[in-house]
Amino acid sequence: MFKRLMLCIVACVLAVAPGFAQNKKSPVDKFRQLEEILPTPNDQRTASGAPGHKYWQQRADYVIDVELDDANQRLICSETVTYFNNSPDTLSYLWLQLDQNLFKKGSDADLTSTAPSLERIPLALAENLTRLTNDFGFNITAVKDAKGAPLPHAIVKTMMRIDLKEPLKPGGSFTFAVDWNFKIVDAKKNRARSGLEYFAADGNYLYGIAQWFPRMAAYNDVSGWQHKQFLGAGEFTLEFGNYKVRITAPDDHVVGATGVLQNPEQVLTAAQRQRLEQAKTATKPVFIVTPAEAEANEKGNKNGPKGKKTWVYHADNVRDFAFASSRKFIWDAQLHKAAGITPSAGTMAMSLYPKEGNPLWAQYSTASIIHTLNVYSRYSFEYPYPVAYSVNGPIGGGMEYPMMCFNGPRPDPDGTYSAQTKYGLISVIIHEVGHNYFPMIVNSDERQWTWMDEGMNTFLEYLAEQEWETNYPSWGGEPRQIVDYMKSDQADPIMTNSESIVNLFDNAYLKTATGLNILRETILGRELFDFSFKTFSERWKFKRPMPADFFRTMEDASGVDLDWFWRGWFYTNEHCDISIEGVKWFNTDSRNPDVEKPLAKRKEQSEPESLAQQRNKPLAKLIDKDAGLKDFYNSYDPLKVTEGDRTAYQQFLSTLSDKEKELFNTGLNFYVVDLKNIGGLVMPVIFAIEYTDGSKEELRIPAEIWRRNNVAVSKLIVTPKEIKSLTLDPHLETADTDLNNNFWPPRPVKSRFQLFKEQLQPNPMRDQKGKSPSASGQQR
Amino acid sequence: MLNSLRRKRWAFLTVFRLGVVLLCLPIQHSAFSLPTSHKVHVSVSQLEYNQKAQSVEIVLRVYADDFENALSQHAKRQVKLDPATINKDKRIAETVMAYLRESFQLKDKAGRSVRLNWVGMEWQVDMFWLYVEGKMTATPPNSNALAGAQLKNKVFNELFDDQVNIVNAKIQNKQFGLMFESKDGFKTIAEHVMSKGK
Repeated sequence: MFKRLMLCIVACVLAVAPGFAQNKKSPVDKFRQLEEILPTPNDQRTASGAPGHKYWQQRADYVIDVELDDANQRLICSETVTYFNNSPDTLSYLWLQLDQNLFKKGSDADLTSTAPSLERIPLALAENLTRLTNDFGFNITAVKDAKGAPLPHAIVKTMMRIDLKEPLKPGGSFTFAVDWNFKIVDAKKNRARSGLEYFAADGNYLYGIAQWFPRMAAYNDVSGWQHKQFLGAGEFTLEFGNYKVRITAPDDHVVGATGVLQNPEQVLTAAQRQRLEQAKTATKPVFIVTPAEAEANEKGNKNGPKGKKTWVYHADNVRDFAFASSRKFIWDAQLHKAAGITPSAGTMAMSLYPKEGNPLWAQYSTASIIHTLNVYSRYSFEYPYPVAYSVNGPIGGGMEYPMMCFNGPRPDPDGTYSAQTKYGLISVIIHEVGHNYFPMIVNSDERQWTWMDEGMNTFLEYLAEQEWETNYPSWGGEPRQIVDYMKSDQADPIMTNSESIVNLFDNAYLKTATGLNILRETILGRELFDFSFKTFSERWKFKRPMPADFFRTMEDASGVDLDWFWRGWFYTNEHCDISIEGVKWFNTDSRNPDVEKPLAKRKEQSEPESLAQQRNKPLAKLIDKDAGLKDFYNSYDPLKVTEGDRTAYQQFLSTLSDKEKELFNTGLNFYVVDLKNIGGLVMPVIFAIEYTDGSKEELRIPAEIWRRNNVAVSKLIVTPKEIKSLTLDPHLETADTDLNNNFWPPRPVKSRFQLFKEQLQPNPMRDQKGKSPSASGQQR
Repeated sequence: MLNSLRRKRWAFLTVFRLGVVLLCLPIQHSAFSLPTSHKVHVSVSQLEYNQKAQSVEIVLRVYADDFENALSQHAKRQVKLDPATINKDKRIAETVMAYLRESFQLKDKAGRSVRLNWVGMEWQVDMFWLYVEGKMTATPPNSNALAGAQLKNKVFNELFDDQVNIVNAKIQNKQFGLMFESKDGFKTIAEHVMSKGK
């Protein structure tokens, strides 16, 4: 009987689950493997996601001389580049990137910008539109070989091709030189990633210089030359190499750069060198240039032109080079030393900022750098570089380079600041310093895939922020924060080229970071995820990973097939909206007459009386008048337990094994929960179950529940207790976009608008406590 | 300042855990600290129709610094929004509504302008949530007045040429999205559904 009941339930589930037995199902297998989309593994990139035994990458070393002309805000430069061809291919020309040409009037970025509304036009735009020419972009004055002979070359917008007289053979190297100069853009006006900032109050400039030299375009096994033009959003695709850079600046400037200062005796005072020594053992940042000294320096420009100083910086195994220069800089430093850190001397964490950055910068910048190195190193690999700078200005947000980043936030002029500025600053420093790991070391192709560095970095940034203070206001990471973007039908898949994504921040940064968090917390668990993520970071540090290498490594190291997740979260814009459509309740027939008959009686009695039955009740009945009309059946109760029933039951029991008897006595309840996948994205199904006896339980079902039918499934819950309520996704971990259909019995969820309005209703109790209704906005 | 902030956030999260308040919109974004110099210029709005009240309920999420700048430029004076007073100060409500009535315009199916009224605003680290509503009669009365309504969203277009305003309208439990770039004028909500219906 028990077995028969089970069969009956199974049949019922099957009948409900497919649901479309009448129509042919459209064969959408959301769990099919990604092989048909991912590139075929080869000797450079294996099917496990690791670099292959024939993995190769090019290398470019640079020796650069640059002079900063502060009076005219220009850079005058020359470089010698040695390019190593580690590829198996013979190259007859080389491609370089000329990023500053982005700002030229008539650049592709300018020409392809679409028509703005002329109804309301931003002032800055009007200024740009009405200017018919500008003098930005590189002036290349010479391209020559090692002997000084001119090399034929062609400038193609933001790229330059150098034609080689002799093809460059595999294993060979080629040395050439370029002379150039350019006018430095105003970073804020031109919305540039680097440039100058002018301080009208004291007449000084602050320079944050990057994308400033013709750099080798990447040549790799996936794209050949990655010379997709720079349109402004897709950042950089670069090669590693060693740099020796001599920066000549006015002698009252403080200059910081990617790399280690080689000539402190020539450019620093004895006091400054001694303070740097102190910073090596300090437990707090030490001023190398104090606020008072910086204020004295910034008055120096009044005295007219003076001498120059040359700062020499060397950096090994970096993919880019940036520097910062100003007479306004305050400079602080503190040595960061982690256990087993690669540069045995530790990493000097340093900040450069004008007085306008204080009090925030002195308090938070260097501390944020050190915190970032601590947390990121734990989840990926030890920070391998000898220095890490955070520089204030000249841009609005933040921008990353190897060992150096520029960060915008500052307090108000009166020295006070809002919470948004404070957390904004700490977040942006964590983020930009964190970029040292992705993409400065795990060297992904940013021109193609923004998510590979921004998404992974925003994910680690979230982890670092949550270790800064409890409930740190991170800009993303929690699944519930991405719901708004997920449900929008205007969203692009993450696997969209950097230049084509409409809402880059929600897409490449936040959706990626949230996806990784869901993998970590809900799908893989922390242990498996952290091991796999670390494996990916270790495998690809100082190498160039592609999306497939990440997808494959995460599966290879975790032992979990995640193709359905990559497919849904990265390749589509589907969202998660799972609903409880209904719940059916079955229980076992114990066949024990002492249990079943009273139960049946209760059921019978609990049925409502019809209106007619109620009205007929008081009417006089014939059998009451004439007792002779009564017989056995007038007093027979079919639901009364008889000895015969009991004997039959005992006989039935004797046919059962002990195990079967036990099962019969448990009195199990069978709940069939019908689920519908409205959003399309397949996700794990997480239930909070509350029983009538007050106890609670959680049921976590992997996403594979959807593998045969990704639209509607039913789940059988077998329990000795009675279920009072079910809640889907009780911890808001799947970014389910509609919570109204997540409850059984159904429960309406108020909209954000209604909640806010309710909270605005007069509340004398709260007013008497001296709390304003507006301030309570945060408390809901 | 830090302590009070912390307490507030804690209270917020606790309520979440109890499951009383189930917000389904992102909580925090950072306006200042964007990871590239190309600060993202995006606003997100949610429209819902309240049948019982015959009114449209609108929530707009805007970056705090952009919003202060836009209001200052529009009102031709420095506007600072202090979270402690934003819902007490009549002048702020007037300033915001003067801006929104110009930048965020809604017309019903018949083409009549819907007058939007101030409900309040809420501060969240680097964003403001703006709450406005407007009377909107549905014909027939049991239908959703948003289907076929027209919207123009020019918020911050005067500040940024790359501003993108995303609008989600919920009609019968389905989301209909609109995306406004600076060149866009009025757009019809759930247009494809409307045309199919006819």
